Amino acid sequence: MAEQKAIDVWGRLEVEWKEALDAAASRQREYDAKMTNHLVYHFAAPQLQELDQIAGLWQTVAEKRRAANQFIREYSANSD
Amino acid sequence: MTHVEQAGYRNSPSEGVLSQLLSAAILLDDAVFGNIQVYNCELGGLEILVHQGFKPDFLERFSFVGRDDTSVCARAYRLAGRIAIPDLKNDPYYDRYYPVAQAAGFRSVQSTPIIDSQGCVIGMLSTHFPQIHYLSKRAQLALDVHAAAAARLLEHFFYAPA
Repeated sequence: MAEQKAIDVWGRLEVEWKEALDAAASRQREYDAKMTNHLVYHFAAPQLQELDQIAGLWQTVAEKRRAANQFIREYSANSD
Repeated sequence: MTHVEQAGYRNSPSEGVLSQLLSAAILLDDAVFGNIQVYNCELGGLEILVHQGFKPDFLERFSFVGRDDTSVCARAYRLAGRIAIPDLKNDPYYDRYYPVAQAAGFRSVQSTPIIDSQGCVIGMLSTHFPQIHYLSKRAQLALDVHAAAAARLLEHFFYAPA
């Protein structure tokens, strides 16, 4: 029962990480497609704001991964 | 002044995104260190742009790696494909660098090329593991997503005004 619960939690954390990864990659592709239409990258305020948002999305990917790694480490340590 | 500074990579708006992206890549398979290098055409080698976890002596030693070097990143550059070494101790090409790896605290490394929209290798995403490590299929797929994202960010630099 406890093992099934752990598998469920692990599965959810993996899904959350994958969703965050897809969101960051997708948002960046969207940004790139828009910027490709510009001959020169000006990095004006709106672009800087967008880059900040994309950085935030990658930060979320890292946080989700950290949470999943932490869970599996603690679970492995407790089941030894 | 290094090439990355001259080329305007350093302190550019995308550098912050690359740092976050590197953190995510390091964590995805429980690595402890990592770096993103850019290829310097004039000098013919890879230069570190962003890094995490390394000590200054390591960074000084590997701030520039020639493309003909025997290090894992240079080999991945020449191959234009990922190279993952589960145990550097058993890698004959890495012989002379193994003491450096030991001192830095890693035993395993993977280098994934960052390839631009023209198909050219413009950089390298490397992550380093403290113990013998085999990359899972899931980690390989995720690393490819990270490298593709890094490619788009680095490409922005090439078109950015100096």
